[in-house]
Amino acid sequence: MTKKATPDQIAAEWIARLDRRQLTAEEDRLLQNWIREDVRHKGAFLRCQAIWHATNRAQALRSPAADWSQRRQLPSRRMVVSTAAAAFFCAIFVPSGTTEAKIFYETHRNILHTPEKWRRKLILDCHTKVEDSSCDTRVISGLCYVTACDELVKTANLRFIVNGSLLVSQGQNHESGVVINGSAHVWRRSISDPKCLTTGTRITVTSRGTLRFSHLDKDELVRLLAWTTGQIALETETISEAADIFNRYNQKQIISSFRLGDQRLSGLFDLNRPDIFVQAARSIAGARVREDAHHFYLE
Amino acid sequence: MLGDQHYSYWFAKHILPNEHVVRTWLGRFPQIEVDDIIQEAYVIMAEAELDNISNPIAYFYTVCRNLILKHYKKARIVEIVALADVQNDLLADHMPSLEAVADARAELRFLNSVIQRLPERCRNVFIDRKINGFTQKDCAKNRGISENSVEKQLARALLSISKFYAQRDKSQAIPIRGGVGNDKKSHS
Repeated sequence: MTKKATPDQIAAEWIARLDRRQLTAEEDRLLQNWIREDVRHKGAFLRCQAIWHATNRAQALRSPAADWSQRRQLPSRRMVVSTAAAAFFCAIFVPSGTTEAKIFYETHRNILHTPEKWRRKLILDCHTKVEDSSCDTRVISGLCYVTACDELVKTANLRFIVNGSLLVSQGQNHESGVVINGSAHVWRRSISDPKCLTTGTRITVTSRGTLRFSHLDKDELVRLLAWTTGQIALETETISEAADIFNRYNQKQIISSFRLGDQRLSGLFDLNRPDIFVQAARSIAGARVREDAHHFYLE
Repeated sequence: MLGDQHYSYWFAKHILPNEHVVRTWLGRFPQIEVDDIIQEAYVIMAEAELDNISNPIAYFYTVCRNLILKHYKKARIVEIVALADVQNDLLADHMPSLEAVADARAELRFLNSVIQRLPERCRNVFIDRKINGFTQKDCAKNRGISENSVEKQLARALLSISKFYAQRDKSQAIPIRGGVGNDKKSHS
């Protein structure tokens, strides 16, 4: 790095080098020395680093070629009406110690589409808790689909800066994020170096606390998002597993027998129509169906 | 990488988009090197507890104001008028209104215009890396140039963007009320 250049110029050169590859020990020593030389050097570096991150917003200028998104079906009128009627959520405005407000969302058996606020749009799956504020969105538990431009999304251990759409899951022993569209920078709470995730990349924190990265294809992404339009795409699930999914969204519960439980049934179903799924189980898997006010029994 | 990335994103979101407003204000004070104050302010803010900062721009102002006072007190030849100006400066007068605080869309428009103003070679590399998401290695392959060239063009782009942020179009600047010799009441 040239010595005659301005601090801004030298800082820009270091940022570009850091983006290219990891510094060698010698380069790292040179950088640290330069930063220690003058407080203005450190300031120039911090500012340049911020500019580098600010330009991540430019990704939004790219025309998205998300052809797969067009395959998603719009929710049926019945689904919209039934969801609206059954919707139960609480949105509590929590005044914090500062001037900024927080909204706490909680869903039970419903899917919640929040209005756009703070340049973010959220879709909460059933049994999900989210705290939304002007600074960030914190997924406390459950599954949340976030669409945002350069906004911070948190789980217990992960921090995402989302430029596009991200599906975030927070369970008791696991947490994960999948980039559905655009990109996201992610880092662990205790680790400072972020990783850039592109469309289809999933990051998972395992129960042992290690990070795993995997890549999902477009079909798998569509399947993962089916619930956002009130649908479920069954592929590998057994009838028993499918029943568990339907039961999370509906008051009327599906109880399957051991005989049927391990059989598989694939297809796209309306999450709010367990009766259609039951009919399919009857005609395809040969299930005998009994029904009372609160249950479907598949035998 | 130096510092916590959280700070960097916080600067990118709250400080950079409004930095030009503070620069304009700093320009009023004689014997002050604006770049020096801004750079030192970033260092001070990088050591702050961000969760306790409810108004980042006001905080940025306060940090810069204190740095100017420190500078004037250190330099014994300062005119009394200049020192009084800083002390009497009503911070609230310089706060942009809520509507004026740069929002994401305005930022995107600004970035778009900045990218268009980059020299062609520099712009192409920047677009490949930051918009299309290629690595520097892939940028080099796509453009048929060396990785060193890509790195240099990116550094050049970054420096230009840094200058654009500092000298953001005056028409975009949030108007600052009051002139030198503030005639409004002072807090102090």
